[in-house]
Amino acid sequence: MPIESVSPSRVLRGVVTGCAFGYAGLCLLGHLGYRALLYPAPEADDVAPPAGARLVELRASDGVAVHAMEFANAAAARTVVYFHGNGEVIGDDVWMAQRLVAQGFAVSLVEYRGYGRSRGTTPNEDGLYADASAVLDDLAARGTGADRVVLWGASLGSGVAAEMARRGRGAALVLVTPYTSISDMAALRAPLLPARWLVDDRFDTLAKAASLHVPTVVVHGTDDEVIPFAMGERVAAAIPGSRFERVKGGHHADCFLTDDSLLARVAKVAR
Amino acid sequence: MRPARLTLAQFFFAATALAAVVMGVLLFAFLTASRRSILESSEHLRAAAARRIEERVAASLSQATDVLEAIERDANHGAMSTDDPTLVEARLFSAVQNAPHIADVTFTRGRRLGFDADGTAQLAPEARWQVSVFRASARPNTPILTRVVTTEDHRFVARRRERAVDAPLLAAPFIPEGAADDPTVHLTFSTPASESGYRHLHSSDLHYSELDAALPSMERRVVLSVQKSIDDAAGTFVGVLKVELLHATIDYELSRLKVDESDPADTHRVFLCDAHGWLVSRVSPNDVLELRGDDLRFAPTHAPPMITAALGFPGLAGVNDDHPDANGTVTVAGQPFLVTFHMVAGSQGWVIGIVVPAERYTRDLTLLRDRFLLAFAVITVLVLAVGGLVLGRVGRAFSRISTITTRMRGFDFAPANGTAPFRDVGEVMDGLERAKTAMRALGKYVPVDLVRDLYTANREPTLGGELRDMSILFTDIRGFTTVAEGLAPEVLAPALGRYLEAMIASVHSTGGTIDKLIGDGVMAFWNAPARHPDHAKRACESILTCLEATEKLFASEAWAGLPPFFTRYGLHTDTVLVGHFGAPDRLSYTLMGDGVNLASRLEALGKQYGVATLVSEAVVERVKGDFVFRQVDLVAVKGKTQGVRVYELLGRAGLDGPKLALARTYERALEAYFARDFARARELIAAQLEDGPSATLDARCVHFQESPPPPGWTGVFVATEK
Repeated sequence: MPIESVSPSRVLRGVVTGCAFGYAGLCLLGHLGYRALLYPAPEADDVAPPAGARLVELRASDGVAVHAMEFANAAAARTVVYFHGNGEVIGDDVWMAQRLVAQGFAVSLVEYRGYGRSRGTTPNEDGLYADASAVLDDLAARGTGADRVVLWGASLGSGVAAEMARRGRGAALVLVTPYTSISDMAALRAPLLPARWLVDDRFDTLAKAASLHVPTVVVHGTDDEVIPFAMGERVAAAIPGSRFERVKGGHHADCFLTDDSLLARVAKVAR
Repeated sequence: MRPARLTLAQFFFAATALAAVVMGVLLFAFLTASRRSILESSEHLRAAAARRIEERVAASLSQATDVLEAIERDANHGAMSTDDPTLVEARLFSAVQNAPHIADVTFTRGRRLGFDADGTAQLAPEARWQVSVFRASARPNTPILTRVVTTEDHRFVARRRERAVDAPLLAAPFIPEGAADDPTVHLTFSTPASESGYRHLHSSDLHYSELDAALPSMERRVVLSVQKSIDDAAGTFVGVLKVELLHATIDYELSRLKVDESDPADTHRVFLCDAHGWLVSRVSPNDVLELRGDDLRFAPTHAPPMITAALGFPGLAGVNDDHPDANGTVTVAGQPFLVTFHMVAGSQGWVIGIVVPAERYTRDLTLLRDRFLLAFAVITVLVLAVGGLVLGRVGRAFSRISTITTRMRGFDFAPANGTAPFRDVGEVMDGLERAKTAMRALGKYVPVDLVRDLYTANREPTLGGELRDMSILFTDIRGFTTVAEGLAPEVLAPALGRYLEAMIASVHSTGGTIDKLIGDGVMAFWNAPARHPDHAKRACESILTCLEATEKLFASEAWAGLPPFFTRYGLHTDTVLVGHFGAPDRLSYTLMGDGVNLASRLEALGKQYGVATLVSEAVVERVKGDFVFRQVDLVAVKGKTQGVRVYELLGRAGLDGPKLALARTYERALEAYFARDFARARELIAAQLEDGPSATLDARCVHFQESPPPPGWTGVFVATEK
């Protein structure tokens, strides 16, 4: 007995319409909500400065409160201004700061808006640049000008460091596990969405690379599970005269722990 | 190379997608099976309805037969004389009167003589007449008319009379109509009267009633007729009886029929057609009759599309007496319609058709499907949303844990005050915090660098050591026991704590390792576990730093006026064993070797000279350029015969002033002493006897002046006490 099943064209139309609405909704959600994914500030603000460090409170150009943790080093010729990753607060990089101090640098860990003590304002690309500028301005006002500043960015911070370098705010640049751009990262993470068009905070380091003319070191771990190793390679290749440090077996956050001699090599370039 | 593993999020989304696909497939299978079963049972329902309708149609058709058979019986039994037209008229009138759907009953008289060769009846020329009793029109309560055809002068003439409604039977007079045709010539007579048709019932399909021949076809009655030969009581052929049934009766019956009696909004449509797909009943009031082949059929000018489609169903052509049923689906404008056909037994090949939108049966299922799909979509979206949210938070917590462990690997054990969104994640973070607390606590007992090395090496320490060039420092507070006895414990403990804190900080600041605290004393060493090629310099620097730091402490408010401690330092550089010593499960990271004992004895030896620092020659040789020393003596410590030069650390290179002058004077005196010129030595230091070493040397010179040393005396002082 021939029994006609549900008309396929009708079902198809319904499915296509449903998918289209779902996709559009997903795009809208992605556009409105990507910052929550890009800036997953941990609910921690352990900024009690350890011995030898102090907290500095500043105002960014738009009035937002910005904090920095300064590690003094009387013997230091240069100050490392450190821009941390998106899942960190400055307390997470105290150990790194102490190692940099041991390498003969003064260090200033920058706490972006929305993070740790600077919590309360939503971060965005321009806001992060404003925060970085505020710290650099403050250092310059106290006698540490661009010629004595090493811009050091890890992960998300690599984009901030690169932008500050483009603006001529430092004498050396260190990019640890950098991305080519946040747009590329978004495209990588949401392969089915038009992520490049949904993300406003582009942090386009690759586009700025050619205009960076300070001594630069790019560090990337081969086993990076967050930002592909190839991105670090591309960034290094695009920055004229940069040095690329390939950390075999290094993950996203432990390059300097994986290779004990790495810090000394990087410091040599930055010093 | 590790096998590729899914992340939590990838696993979650893959699992959700898989669940969705499985649910979708199951739903599809369920819906298909349900639909099939529903449609199959609907087929049974329609088949039963078709048989019910068949009975009703057959019953309608049998009205004509019933009338015919009743009259036939009367004729057979002699109850109706077939010789008198008036008596026949009365009988026929009562038949018409009592059967409202009968349009016409006609008796045609003829006397058969025999049959022709072709079976046609041979009739006697006389006794040919016809009586017809019929209704004036199809409308109810119309007058009943009679038409009689008889022979007059060998010509057929017709008369008619019309009776008003409810008027007596024979009241109206006959009105002559004039000439008429021979009624026995008509097919409706000749066929039942023929040899082959005799005593058989003859049905004819739809045709216009001849009674209305004068009317336009739209107004003409459509009838079905039955004919049969009639015999008298003797069994002799006397004529043919014809009964005409109004077709409208069937339309009326069909219009009242419902497939589902319980549903007032039944969407089933019932119609009557033939195997050619031509309509036998009207499906709309405006359908007109057309001649299709030999039969009258309705042209479905305004038929609903589903009936038009049903009439075109290919299976209909195959319906016959042997295969009376057909079922199937037709599609109109993309919508499926179910059709059922059933042949009416004993009819003129008439077929009952039932057509219904499949939606009538599948509506509930479709509703169920839509609801289920909606619920499914909502649940999927909810699962994805909640799952995404939870995954986001778990991912963030994992990232936090990763960051904390990275900090720990970076040897940052400072407490972190993060909060965890879930209890189990929180427990992991609490566990990490506890581990960090343990590490912080451990760092108070054992050298931090050692812990760091162990932590970095990621393995447990095992018994064993290595020979390494080390600088070893012992310190002690002069007369601490006496000081301690004079102080309350609650004053002493914090004071000692502050003092040791300053000492330890000074050692750490130069990269030294605290081996252990021995009461008020400190044992420290340089060049392990962290390697420092300039360890001797670092050690000397550390002593100076200790001196400065404690001096500052004693002068500070925190010291609260307590008497300052005088600390002795003994420093020696030597190749000793360094490593983990002790029992396998109770290790200490420490040093072994003669060099350790010498350093300890140097500290004790300081007492002899009243100096704060006593440094071995090995140290001085390495750091000559960086610090200023004075040789204090040549000593063979307990258990040794070889003498070693021992020095006091005066300060950093570039030191000048009275302290240095004093030291140089002392060294000249010491040379004189070694040269047995005790008087010269005493003379040199006579002005500085408040200096410890000078006072000690002076006492020795006095002793040797009284009892000169034996020949071969080298000046080596043999230290007898530890």
